[in-house]
Amino acid sequence: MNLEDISAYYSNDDRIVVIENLDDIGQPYSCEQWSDGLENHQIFTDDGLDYPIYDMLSIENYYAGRAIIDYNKVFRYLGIENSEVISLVDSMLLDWSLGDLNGDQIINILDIIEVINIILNPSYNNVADMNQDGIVNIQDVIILIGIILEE
Amino acid sequence: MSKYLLNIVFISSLFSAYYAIGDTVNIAEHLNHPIEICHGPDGNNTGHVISLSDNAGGVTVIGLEIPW
Repeated sequence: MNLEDISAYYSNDDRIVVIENLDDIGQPYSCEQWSDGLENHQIFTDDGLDYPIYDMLSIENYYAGRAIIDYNKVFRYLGIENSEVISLVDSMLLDWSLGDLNGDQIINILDIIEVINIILNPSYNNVADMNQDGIVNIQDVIILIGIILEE
Repeated sequence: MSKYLLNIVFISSLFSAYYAIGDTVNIAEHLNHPIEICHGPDGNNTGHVISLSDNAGGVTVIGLEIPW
């Protein structure tokens, strides 16, 4: 899986932005050549003559690497394995949506009602499984109440 | 021996980075650095200047590409 595959994978989620930052453009490939033939969703960028993005994120001089900055601006990953990128971003998305049963980006009483409905009509929903123990039960409701009270 | 130590320190400094995994990226110093879109999604927004901070609150996956 290439970076363009990652960008295609998340193309319907506007919380995820995929940027391919190019350095030394024209040596030998132009930006157009880098992007040529790709049905891409990612952004190709040029950070100028020096290497500010590369210098900022590269550890042990990886090149053709992948870096992830999360929603808290924390540098979360540097490596070359796209499967690791997908796995980490997917886990971030789950953290993000955990407890938000109705997907309105707010955790409130409506989400508690949804979790109770799941408990009363036995089924499983990963987003309702607050402690990720594979079961949706009263413990998940308690965790959800705790989150609402903290807010 | 001290020569070896100096070499190790020197070589380490060559591979040093601003951040380690788990560090919060400095907004003013790094996330606000202007970067130009040289090819936007499906060819759109080419020429626009953005910064990594534009996606604050979201997840940014960055490919670091150097063709040498």
